[in-house]
Amino acid sequence: MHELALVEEILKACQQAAASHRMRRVTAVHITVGELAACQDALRFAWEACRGRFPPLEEARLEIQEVPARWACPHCGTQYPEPLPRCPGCSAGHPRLESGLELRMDYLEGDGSP
Amino acid sequence: MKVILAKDLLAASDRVAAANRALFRQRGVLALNIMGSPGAGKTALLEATLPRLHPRYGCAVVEGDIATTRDGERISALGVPVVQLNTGGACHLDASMVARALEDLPGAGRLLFVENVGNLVCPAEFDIGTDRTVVVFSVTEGPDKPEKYPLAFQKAHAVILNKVDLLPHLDLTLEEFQKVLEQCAPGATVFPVSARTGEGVDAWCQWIEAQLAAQYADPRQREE
Ligand SMILES: [Zn+2]
Repeated sequence: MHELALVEEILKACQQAAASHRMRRVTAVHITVGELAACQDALRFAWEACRGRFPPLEEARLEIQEVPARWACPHCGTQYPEPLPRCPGCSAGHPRLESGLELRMDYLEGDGSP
Repeated sequence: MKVILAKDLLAASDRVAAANRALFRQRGVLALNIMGSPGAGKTALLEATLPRLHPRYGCAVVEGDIATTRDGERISALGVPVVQLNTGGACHLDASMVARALEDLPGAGRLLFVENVGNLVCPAEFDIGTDRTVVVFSVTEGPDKPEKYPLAFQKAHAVILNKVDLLPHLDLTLEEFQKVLEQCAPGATVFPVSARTGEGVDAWCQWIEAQLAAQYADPRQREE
């Protein structure tokens, strides 16, 4: 269940940030997730299940910016979205994963102290 | 109010584990992390399993061992590609060791078995990127073991209750072992097996086939 551990890590970091910026309420948390790094449905599910335990994030939305997976041929550099066994450009094997493993917190939004 | 919080969420080792996982997806591989105490029968289980699955799917094995290459030689004798990892005293495999082993394995097979170092404490704490966690536990180890090593059993997708051919000589019944495992490994399917006689090995192999099919039925599906 690594999505659950991830969500708890995000919530904990947001809680600290909210405290140090004196936010009364966090309304949204923006993260970037590579297609292969985590399952979005599992992240959203874990988010709903956990956020209640992390004030002031009880009602915070999780906004996910998805990065699609891309492979590149190590030989000719052609990029493709599927892990093709053979490069369509030069038919070399073993494509390299270029993107799709990102996992990053970007920013959070909320109301400051009055 | 907006607060920028540019923070990478993956620690280095998690990143390597995630890269291993992505490589498995890329190659269409299902990877199984086989854990268990020394003598539980991990290698014997593989010796019973590989002849059934290797001809149909293509298998490969990563053998983790503190210092010897004996287990690797037993697998190699079956004609299955194997990479022996000597951990040089470390009590578990980590993701980067597995990543290095993968460089030496051909990409043809669909099933990768990672035989972890023989203990149940440390290997359970390290994500190496495998898709399924399997604990091999023999009836001669005693029913208190799952309680002593809770993490390994909690993480297990399958528990192989090995050496069931010895049950007639023991005080505990199969049902009693199953009751213990139901509590300690609630997420696991339990397979009573004798790697020595072959009893129960077919059911375990069918489970592996089903996991492989499930992993690739939906390309977005992740290990849970
Ligand atoms: Zn190419």
